Amino acid sequence: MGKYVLGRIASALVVMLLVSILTFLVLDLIPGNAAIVAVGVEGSAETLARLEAGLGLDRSLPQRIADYYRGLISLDLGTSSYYAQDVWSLIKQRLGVTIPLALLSTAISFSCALILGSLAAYRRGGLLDGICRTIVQLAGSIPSFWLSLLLLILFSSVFSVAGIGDYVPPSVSIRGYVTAVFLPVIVLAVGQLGPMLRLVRSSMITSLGEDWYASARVKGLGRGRLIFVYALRHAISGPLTLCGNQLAKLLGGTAIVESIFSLPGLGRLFLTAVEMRDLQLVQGIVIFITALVVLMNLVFDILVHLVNPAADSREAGGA
Amino acid sequence: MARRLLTFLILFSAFLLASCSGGQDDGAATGAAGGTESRVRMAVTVDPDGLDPHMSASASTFQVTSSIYETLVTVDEQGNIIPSLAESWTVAGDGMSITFSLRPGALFSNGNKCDARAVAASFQRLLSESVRSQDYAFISSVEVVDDTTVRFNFGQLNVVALSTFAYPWAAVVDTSCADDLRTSPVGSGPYMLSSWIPQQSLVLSRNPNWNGECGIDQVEFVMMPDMTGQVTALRNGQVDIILITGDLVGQFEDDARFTVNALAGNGLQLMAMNNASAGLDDVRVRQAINYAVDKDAVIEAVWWGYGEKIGSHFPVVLSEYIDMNDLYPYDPQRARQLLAEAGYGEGELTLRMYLPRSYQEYVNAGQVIAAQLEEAGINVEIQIVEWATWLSDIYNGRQYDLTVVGHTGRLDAYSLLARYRSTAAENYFNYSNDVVDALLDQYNTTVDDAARMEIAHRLQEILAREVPALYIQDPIQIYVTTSRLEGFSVFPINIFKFNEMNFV
Amino acid sequence: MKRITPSLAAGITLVCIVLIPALVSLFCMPYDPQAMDLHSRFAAPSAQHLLGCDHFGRDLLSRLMEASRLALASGLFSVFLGALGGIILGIAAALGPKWLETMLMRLADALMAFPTILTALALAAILGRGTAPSIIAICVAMIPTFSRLTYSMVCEGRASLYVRAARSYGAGPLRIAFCHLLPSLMGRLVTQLTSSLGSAVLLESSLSFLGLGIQPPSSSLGMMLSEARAYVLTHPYQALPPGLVLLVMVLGFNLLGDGLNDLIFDRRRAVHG
Repeated sequence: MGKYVLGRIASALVVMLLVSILTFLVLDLIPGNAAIVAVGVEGSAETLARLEAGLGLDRSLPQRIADYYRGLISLDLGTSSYYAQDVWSLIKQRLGVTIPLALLSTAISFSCALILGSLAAYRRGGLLDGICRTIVQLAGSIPSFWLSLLLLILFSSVFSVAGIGDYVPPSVSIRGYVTAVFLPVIVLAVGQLGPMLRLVRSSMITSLGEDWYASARVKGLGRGRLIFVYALRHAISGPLTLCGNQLAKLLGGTAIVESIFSLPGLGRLFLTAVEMRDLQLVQGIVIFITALVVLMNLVFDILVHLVNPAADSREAGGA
Repeated sequence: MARRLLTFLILFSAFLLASCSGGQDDGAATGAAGGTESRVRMAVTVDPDGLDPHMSASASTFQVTSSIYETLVTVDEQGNIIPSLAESWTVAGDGMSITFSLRPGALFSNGNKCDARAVAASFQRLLSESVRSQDYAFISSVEVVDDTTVRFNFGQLNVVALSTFAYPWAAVVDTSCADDLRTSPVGSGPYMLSSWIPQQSLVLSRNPNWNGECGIDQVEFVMMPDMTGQVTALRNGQVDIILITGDLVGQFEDDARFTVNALAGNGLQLMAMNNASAGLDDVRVRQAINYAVDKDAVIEAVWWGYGEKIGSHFPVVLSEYIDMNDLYPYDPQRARQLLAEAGYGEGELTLRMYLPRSYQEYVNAGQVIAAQLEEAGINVEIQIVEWATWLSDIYNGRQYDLTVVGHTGRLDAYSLLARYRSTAAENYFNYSNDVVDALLDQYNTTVDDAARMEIAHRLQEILAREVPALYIQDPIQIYVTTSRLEGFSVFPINIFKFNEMNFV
Repeated sequence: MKRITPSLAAGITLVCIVLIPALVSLFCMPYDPQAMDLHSRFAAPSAQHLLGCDHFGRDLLSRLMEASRLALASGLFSVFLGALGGIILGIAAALGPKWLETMLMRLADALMAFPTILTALALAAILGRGTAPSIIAICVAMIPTFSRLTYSMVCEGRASLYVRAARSYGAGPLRIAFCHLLPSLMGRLVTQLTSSLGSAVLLESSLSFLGLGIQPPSSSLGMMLSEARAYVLTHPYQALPPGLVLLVMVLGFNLLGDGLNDLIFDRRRAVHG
């Protein structure tokens, strides 16, 4: 296990390096830089040159990359050129929004999927199964930004609910916070429900069809206990891995949903950073998200191993 | 077991319902409570890019910093220069220097003295480091006469020098903390920064060292990128000021709880043409484009009629303005004729139009104009680009045929029109006319007001005839405030005076 | 043996609902989708304009027809290219030398983690105007899915009896890949291809929702939705038709993918049973 974890971390570092070099190349390729954005439609060529020098943009790409990694080794993500604030503190501010959002929506869709999926698998072909299959298809196909718009119209215009699109940190007002994050959580949960429910259902069907289940039934074990403890344990590795993937994706921010609901999350920060050519901030967020994705996958692989030691975590990773 | 599961299911759905209805109740409660009376909340879409007025060119910065820092002089609603940090001033007989008398005892928010020495230091920084330093190149030296008197000597005559001291980017900053001003601003204005979480909110509180009038204790800028959110927040009393688009006026017009302030701003919106690119280098083609576009329809389609049509590069609100709208009225027949004279038959001219994505109104205007140009037989290829790309490739790189963009207001004709000088870096039109260059040179050194007015008129006329751009409109800004808020006004430059507002 | 499952039938129906108008739009449309008529802006659905008009008075039905055609075309293109690239990379990783395998699979990981928005921006900067940048950006986003799938299936197949048999006859890795392995994986790949169409259409619409996709005056579903977003308060109806078309399209492809999967699964079972 230890060797496996070490190997995973090593390959994660390689992936992060690749991603960040790609980011450097891309930002070098697309027109415009932070100095041009700062000067805007005012200011002379000399001003522009002075600002570029101030931001170190006049040096060659390899030099800038080398400088960046020197900072990174000492865990310094640098300073945002647009906000003039420390990149890490900017990211940290966003986590208060993004982490609860990701955790809540994943938890909701995971628990819904477990309950509905197990019942649907148990009564395969029944009414509940039909409903489940419909949910799987609908939830998996509905575009999240459209759902956001519909909910926004419904709650803002029709029901006139106050506080949507006005983010308040929970430390200021719990109620204000709940109102602001309630709809986005629903949207994100619906977005994940489709694939999750489908996977739970199919793994449960497989699990209930296995020999041990029949023999356990013969031995007289309770049906509920069988389904929700034994069968589920066998079936859970796929859904858990998926859960990890989804969570990691959400922690990377969901730019569109965040900007529709005016939430100050990581995705919106990323969009602004790209728009303003804030190289340090873009890099910081990309590296942070990549690290998170890798870490989440690792954590959930270990989790799968703990819940069901029989499942090979490598195989589950591909599911 | 099944029963336990059922209980769990019921509890779970109860929890979902509770969190659902809880959210709704809560919204109503907050809405009813409203904000505290001495705090004004304004919804904005974009963050400032740091709070150092010398190091920014962005309007979103100045609408915040104009409350933190003071300028030597400021403007009233009509654009007249009035005292601010300087109580009075005298312009030398030959116009080659201005002496300002500062308000005695002025302090920065950190307690440092804001005296003549501080003003001189701040202007030294402006001259050497600022984004706008070239705008102040006419200043040759800054002299500290005594504690409250500071004199600016000019290297070249600039008859509009006084107004350049009113712009928010000429604010006086405490240079002893110059390096941190972007995140911890220190000025002598009515407010100081109390917190700023980007993309969430920025809160200003009263500057204890400020002795002037101040009807509002706290100003909060709430970052809300979505218009729907802003309107809902205003309706529910969570914000007090929002800036809306014309289509939403109907939502507030007949509601006594809100005041709609539709005020002609001091800006220009235009479709720039690259006067050096093939086709557009022919004045007949540019005129044809002007004939082909129905500006009234564009203003109606994009701004719901909230805009003053213009025919030259000059905002309606300035005193030098002359109406040039009748020169090229909407006449598609004439447009085709001119195009044919220039040698372009139906569909033989193809122009690339670049539109900046961050500005939806320009993207819309571009689409409407493109449709009208197509009707006159000109092909238009639209590409929507990011703002940074626009700045780099179109504005600085001048690689374009057509683009729609806006310019923010200036107080005098020279700063407005200087970008038409053939050699100017800001001349992204690639426009070149010796007469215009000569007139611009003359303008700044003409002391006689009537003669200067004459030059301003001539410049407007030449631009209106040669149309280096399609001048669309002077936009009308529509701010909606709660009726309880008094004293809200809009100025010809991008500033707010929150200390002059109060709640009734 | 039931050949047509309900989901397959539903999928085919839904895909046809969007496919037929999209194909018809090649020959005729009720109106020019780009023609503006400012007198009928936000017109309600009527006999003249079956679905009403948008904020520039353009006919919504015609714009939807054009948008679905472009969405289908760019979805097909990007998935096809993405699948091709992914399959080749996956096979190369599975059958190539160890270093190639490591390199390609790490590259796939990196691509997966790399933000699609950045890819789209970079490609727009290189390729300029038009639909090509967004198609290639979506294609790049599709590659890792296909390369991983192919890789894992080839790895499974590599050890199977018939492959070992083929190798013992002296067949080279390329021959094994294309003559023996790929045909057996075809069913699985076709299923993945169909459901990827759904995600490609979704991705295209979110890119153009952010303004990174198809450029005006052509219409796209995401662009129509982002335009509708500005008028949510005064004209909420505008947000309905483009979203519904998008939903039907994605749902159709997903159901079709599922149906095909069932079909192949059933046939296999029939063969084995």
